[in-house]
Amino acid sequence: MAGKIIADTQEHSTAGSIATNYVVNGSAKAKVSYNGSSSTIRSSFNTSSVSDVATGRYYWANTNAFTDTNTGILSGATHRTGVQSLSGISGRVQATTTQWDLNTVNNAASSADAELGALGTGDLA
Amino acid sequence: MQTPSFKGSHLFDRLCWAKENLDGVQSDYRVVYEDSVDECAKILVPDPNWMACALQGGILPPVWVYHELAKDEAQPDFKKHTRGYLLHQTDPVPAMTEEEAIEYLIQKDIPSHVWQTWDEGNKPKMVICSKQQLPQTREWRNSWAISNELAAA
Repeated sequence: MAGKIIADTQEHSTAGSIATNYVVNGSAKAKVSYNGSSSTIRSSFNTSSVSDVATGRYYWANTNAFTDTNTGILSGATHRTGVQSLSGISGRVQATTTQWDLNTVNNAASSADAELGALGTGDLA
Repeated sequence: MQTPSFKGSHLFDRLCWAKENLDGVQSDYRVVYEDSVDECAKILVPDPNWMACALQGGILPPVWVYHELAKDEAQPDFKKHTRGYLLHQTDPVPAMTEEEAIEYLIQKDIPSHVWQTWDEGNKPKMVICSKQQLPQTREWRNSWAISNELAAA
């Protein structure tokens, strides 16, 4: 049966309490797992497409737009797909409220294809 | 499976329902496009969960909603969306074929100056193809371009 719990605070028996607006505002609103070498989306939520833009560069498009391009924060990770020493992902500020500009780089700070996972947080439109 | 009546419900809630109830559909279609003479060709890959929503119907908003939001966003004094309700309160679109879904996605995720004038010029700026028609390796990725041998319609 569907239901609703309305609460401003959650409290753990020993670990303390947290205001539920931290949960609402801090939860990821979109995710994607993408294989940049084979151009395949493996897992996703609130995603409409990924565009392979160039080596190590991708546009990630969302279905439910974010409210603006300033509050979205991106976290992500890469691992090797035959390219050595991949070190990270950088999500530039959102290009639009429905699109992120992702760039994966190697240890020499050069763009390199990767398998990547990304989370988008922020307020939804 | 019958789609619940989502009229007026938040788009995010509809996507949650779809994630729980629909299997993803990996499309074989890819859209290759060029939006700048200074950059290599880009390749749009449809999302499997999004494609499932499109084929199911009753979940996604009409594509014009995204265009309206883009107009708002293009205003110099834009700070945040105030018409997000368009995403949630506009009647969802009915079920699409895979081909119709690709057309929708082109209009949503590819710059309008590409799809509105894709066949103007010496060669097409956009091509819909199958995944198998793309280069099978990533060699010279930053030099990829739509073939000059393709004639504009």
